Amino acid sequence: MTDTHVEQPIEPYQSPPEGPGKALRSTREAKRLTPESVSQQLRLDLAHIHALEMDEYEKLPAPIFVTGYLRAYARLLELDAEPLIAAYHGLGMDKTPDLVQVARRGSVGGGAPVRWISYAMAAGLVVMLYLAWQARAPEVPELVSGPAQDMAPSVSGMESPMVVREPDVAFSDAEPESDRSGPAESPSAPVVTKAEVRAPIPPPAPPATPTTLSRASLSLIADRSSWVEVKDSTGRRLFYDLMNPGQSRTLEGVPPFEVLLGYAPGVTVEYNGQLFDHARYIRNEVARFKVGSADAGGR
Amino acid sequence: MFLFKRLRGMFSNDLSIDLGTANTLIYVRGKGIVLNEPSVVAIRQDKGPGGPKSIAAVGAEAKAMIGRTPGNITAIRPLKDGVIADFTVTEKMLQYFIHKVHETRFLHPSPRVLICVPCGSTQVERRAIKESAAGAGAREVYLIEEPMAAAIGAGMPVSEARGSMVLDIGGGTTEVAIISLNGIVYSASVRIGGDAFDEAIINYVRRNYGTLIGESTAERIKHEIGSAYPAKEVREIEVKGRNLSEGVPRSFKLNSNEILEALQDPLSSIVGAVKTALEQTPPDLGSDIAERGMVLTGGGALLRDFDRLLIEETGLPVVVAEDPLTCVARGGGRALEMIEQGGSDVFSTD
Repeated sequence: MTDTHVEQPIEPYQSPPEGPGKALRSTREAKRLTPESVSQQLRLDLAHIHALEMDEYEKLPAPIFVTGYLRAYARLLELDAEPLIAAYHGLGMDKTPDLVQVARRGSVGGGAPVRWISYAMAAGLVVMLYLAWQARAPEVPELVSGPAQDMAPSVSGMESPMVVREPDVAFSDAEPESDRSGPAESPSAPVVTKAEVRAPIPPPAPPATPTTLSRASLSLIADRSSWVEVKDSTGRRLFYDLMNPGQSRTLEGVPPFEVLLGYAPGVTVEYNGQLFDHARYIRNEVARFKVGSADAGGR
Repeated sequence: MFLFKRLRGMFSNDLSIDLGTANTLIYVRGKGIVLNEPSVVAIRQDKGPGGPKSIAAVGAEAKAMIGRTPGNITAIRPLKDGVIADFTVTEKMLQYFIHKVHETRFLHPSPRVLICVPCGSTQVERRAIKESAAGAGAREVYLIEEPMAAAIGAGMPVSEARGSMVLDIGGGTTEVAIISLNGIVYSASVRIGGDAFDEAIINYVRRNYGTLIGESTAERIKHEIGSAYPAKEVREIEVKGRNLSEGVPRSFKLNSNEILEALQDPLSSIVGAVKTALEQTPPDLGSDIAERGMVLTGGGALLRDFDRLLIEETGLPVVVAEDPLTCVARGGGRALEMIEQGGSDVFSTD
């Protein structure tokens, strides 16, 4: 490493530090070219040539064009273009134009807000379904009686116009309509009564079964996470989910309960408030057993 | 699966890929151009035809093999005329390049990728490019039209309500477009580019010298003495090729005027495309272009005096972009940055 003084590169055209314009102009004058002839040869506006020579870059288009013009001008004057372009860049007026969005899209879809709204709606739907399932679970028998009652009037409604049509012989005029409506009521009336007679039979039957049997409670406390399935004697699924550590659930239903524990050592079972030992049913950490029946003890 | 891809994406860089017929360039956000390699893949097939195929080399290494391979290796260019000609090989090549720019990562990269496509490409061709990028591990694929990327990369004010004309001469295609307000007003694509120049030189030498030269020799001739406009000084080059009548390699000299003559056909096609574009341009945009001029990008812009030819033929100012080879990839990179700013109107996802 020899400490020699760094020689400054010689400015070949004595271009002033402020820009390449002066060098272009002096060289052009030395070559006895008029701005008009330069403009014609480079196919540039005369105003652009003047702006280049006066270093008035704000009158010229984007920097890409300015460097291009400088290069073409330098070639015409048989100059080296690079020092000229470096001088131009040295002015700090060569900012690349920003890439801006011309028009913002409104609600054309696919945008972030639309996506988030749909996510929220999907989450809401899941929560509502879960709540509906929870609320519905103990009231299954009532649902059975519901449709049976609805059926009766709909059946009578269906039948009444058919009954009316059958005796109808003169169907040409609109006038007899009032006459027809008179007799129409008489055949429809017995049909409704018939349906009413039939209807009361099925509804009391389904609710009768659960009320006759006594209900019992089953508590599950998870120390470790475990898959748990519980069905009661009516075949209704009381629980069908993963239990996390620390979670506990109390289920009510008609005994005996059919229980499946995915990780049995991690779950404590209580039947009607009493601890139920399921250790003897555990096979490979899985236990499958009935609680509340005669063999399992405790009714 | 989606979540996993997203997680991997956090460890990957967003890429802008100029998947060109001749060269593939990759621009990484915040780093610049990190890869510039020829789009060539060398495939090894052992145990005769029908045997298992494997990749022997990709990129520069594979390009050196073109025309010099033994029977069990074929060096191929999977893209032709700017679009995919061999789907599987393109996918492998992209996979290799994407891995190469993520060299130091131990996780499988899953970047967001923006790929430049010729504006004349069909829906089928675009889909092929998208699928092969997805197959190569891209998480999301965006497409941008090449002249748009070229104009952005060159630093043209594409967002202004003024006409900007760009001529991008690539390896397989030449794209001409007039852009205003981030959109393409007119675009045309001719399937003539640097490769067509090489081919024209090969044909010229065979016709006039009765000698066969290879693709790489033709490319060297083009780089050294090729020009688009008659110059004052005549340059010469000595090349070697196989004499067709004698059947042995012979050395001979070519000069720049001969190459200019050889290139007349492809050059006039490109000039024709430019003239057609100017004819089709709405008059207001035309006057903007006449005032400021058109910009040349792509490897073809490096052909000596191409701008002079266009100045003479069109009577408009012509400007060659700085570093024209990387304009498209750089422009893609800048467009990619706009994704972060809430989407953009310069590229599409279909």
